Amino acid sequence: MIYVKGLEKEFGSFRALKGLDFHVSKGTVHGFLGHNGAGKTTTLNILAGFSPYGKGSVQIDGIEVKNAKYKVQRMIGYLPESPQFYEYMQAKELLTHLGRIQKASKPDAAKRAEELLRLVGLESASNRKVGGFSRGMKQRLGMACALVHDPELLLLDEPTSALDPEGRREVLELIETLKAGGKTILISTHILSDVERVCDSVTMIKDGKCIFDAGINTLKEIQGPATYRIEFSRLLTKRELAALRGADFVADFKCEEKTCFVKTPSEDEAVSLQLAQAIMELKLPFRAIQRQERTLEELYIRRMNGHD
Amino acid sequence: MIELIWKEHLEGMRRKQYFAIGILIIGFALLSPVMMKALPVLLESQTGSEEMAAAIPVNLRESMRSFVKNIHQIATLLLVYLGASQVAYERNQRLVFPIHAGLEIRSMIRAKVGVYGIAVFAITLLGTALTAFYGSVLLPDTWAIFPAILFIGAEIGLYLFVAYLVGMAVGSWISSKMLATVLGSLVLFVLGWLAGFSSFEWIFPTYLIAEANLLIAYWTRPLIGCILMTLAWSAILAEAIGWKLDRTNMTAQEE
Repeated sequence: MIYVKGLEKEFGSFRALKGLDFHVSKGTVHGFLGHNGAGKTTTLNILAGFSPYGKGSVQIDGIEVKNAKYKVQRMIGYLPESPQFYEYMQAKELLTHLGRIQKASKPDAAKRAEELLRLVGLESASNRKVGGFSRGMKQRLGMACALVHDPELLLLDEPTSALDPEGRREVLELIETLKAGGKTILISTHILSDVERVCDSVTMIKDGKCIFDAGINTLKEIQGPATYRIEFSRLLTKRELAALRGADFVADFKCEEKTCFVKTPSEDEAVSLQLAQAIMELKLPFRAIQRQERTLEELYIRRMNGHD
Repeated sequence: MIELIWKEHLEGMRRKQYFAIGILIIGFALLSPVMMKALPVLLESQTGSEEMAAAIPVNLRESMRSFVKNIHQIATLLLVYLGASQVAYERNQRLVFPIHAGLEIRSMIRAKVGVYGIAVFAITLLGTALTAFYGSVLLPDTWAIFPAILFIGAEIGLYLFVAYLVGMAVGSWISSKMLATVLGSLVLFVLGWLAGFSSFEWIFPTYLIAEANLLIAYWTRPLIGCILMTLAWSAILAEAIGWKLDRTNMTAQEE
């Protein structure tokens, strides 16, 4: 659905994007991660047809954005980070107005507005002026506005960043509903737990370049050395601790009362067997060994710091 | 297009933009005859000279000239500001959703120009009529009122419409609405200054104000030429605003 190759963008002497490559498959939810200033919003603005670009190719459904800006814009719904509205309009009036721009008849546009307000949970506020909406309500209204013309592709810039946990949950559920409806969604966000929850694939960018572009599962598969959490039935003696620390498959070691965290030098399955075997041989009073899954946050930080 | 006209009308009502234009023009319209009537009394109390106060002509025509002068100076500034702030309001990300829904920016500009052009024209005509009729009650004169109202009102209205367009045009290039207002007013001032030096004064829109000051109610060739020229420039300016906004990044927060 989205294909970006060698994308470059300059603001004066500042190079915001330095040959960015990534792709998003149709019908998937794709996370777009990076630090502030990495070039995420710049990329979204280019995809949405609002910002011209120099070198490189940006294709949406096979159409080069700079060659058919208006056609591409009709295929996209874009929710900016801080969406702005005509505050003097009521929510339903605004959505009906957007529908009418799209050349829908007044009854059809009003019906669609009601559907969308129901979808984003704002039906009770349909006759309230948008100027009085809270940030979370505006974010949800923004989603409805982006969906008015039933676009195939949704670009969401930090859709949950300003929301309370309840609002976040609602927006994530909405994204899951849209995904189930076959929409392709690109989400730029800092909230990695959101990416972990709804995204199928992820692109990480740093200094205007892609440093990772693959499925979430691929990212987790290459997560590197593992950490094991070992629970003991009593506190270990100094001699037992020294014996465990001395084992050659232990790269790092930390104990908190009866629980120890052991980092192994590799992801190899054999290491985990060795660890279990050694604990038995040392006759340590263990209750359970559990491999700890690394969160996306840890993986993100490792990637950003140039590890893996 | 009807939808866009409805949106602009709603904006004019709910953001109180009609009200702002109306209160200023109608306010000046009602104040001008009162001030003219009070002028001799004020002068006498200030200078203590009855002769000086008596030397000031106090009649409907002078009241109308005062109205034209005040409206030219104050309403021009308001209309330039209105044009610049409307563009700043739209380009502050508010066009993102409409553009994706299929909005053509040039159509939106045409709707704005149409709605506010008519509003400015109508309010100015109303203001001119009010000041003339109220002045005729308060002040002495034998001036033929009705045809003159149409001429003066239309001339000022058309000029203020140009001021609004100039505000929008400068606002489409400069993101700060205050700076755009200052520059837009400067553009109109320079046009007036240039007109004073030109033997083709009628090609400048400021000629409309010069004509309104004459308080005449008949067509002259330069006046017709000026109206046609102003309408032609307005159409070109409106298209240029649409063209420029079409190439502006609507995702930047600039208001």
